[in-house]
Amino acid sequence: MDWTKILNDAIAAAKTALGNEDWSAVAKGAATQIGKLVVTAQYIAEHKDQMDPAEYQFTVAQNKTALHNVFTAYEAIGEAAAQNAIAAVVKAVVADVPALAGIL
Amino acid sequence: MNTTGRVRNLIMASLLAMGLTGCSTVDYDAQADQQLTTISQEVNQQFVTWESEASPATPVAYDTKFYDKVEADVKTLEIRMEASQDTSTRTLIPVFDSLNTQFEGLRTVHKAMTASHGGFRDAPFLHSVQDNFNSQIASLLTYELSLKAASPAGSTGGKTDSTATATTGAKAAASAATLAAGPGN
Repeated sequence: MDWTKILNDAIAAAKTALGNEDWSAVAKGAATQIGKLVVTAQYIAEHKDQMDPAEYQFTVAQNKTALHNVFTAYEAIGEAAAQNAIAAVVKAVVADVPALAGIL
Repeated sequence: MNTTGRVRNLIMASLLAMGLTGCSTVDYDAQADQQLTTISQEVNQQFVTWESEASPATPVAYDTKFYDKVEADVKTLEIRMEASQDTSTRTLIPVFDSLNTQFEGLRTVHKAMTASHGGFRDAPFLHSVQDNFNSQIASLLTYELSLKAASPAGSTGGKTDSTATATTGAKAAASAATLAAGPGN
């Protein structure tokens, strides 16, 4: 599994969802936080069988919340745009790692 | 980026904020800064301990003390932010709400894991959770520090005279420093 490609796909999806102007405003913080989400996705993909569903559900939700906070609190992206961008990131990761469908 | 680079970024963005002279006021709140630092210490001390202990053979059982303390501290700080006259500071209130919701969620998971498996067993899971708390607390700390750097009152706290876009400058400083901190910080 090429997790660098998956990260790049996820970042590209967020950029497309937000548009160039909004993405430019959040790019630095958001790329870092998307990276954390992808690292979490990788860990879950590789260790899901050793984890309790409550654990990976919590950490996925926390990653999404942190990304949402980057989008909205610090850079004033609207709620709908933030939700769309998070959904686009998740969709991109799941497209590359179908086993994560229903988990992310 | 090294520490010098990070500091340079922070200073440059703060100077931008200071350079915008005008009519509104942005508060640096020394007590809020200290309270954020305290919360950061509480979180990191607890997670480092948990991560060193957690394994399938030695699960970390639920203990209410950490959650009670950190949730109360975050709520106290949120109330302080709600009292602020600064619009930009008040926009951070949802972040504090969100942090408390995350601690409450972790408490629920910890209780469930203790009931089903004796406690948390997976150190990397705990590290991921710690990392996410840190990134959010760091952004709040950076915001306060950028106000401090731009404040003529310096480390003693006070107000920073600037234009209405000064908080944007402070946010730019926060973003620059967040970037400088890089992934995993």
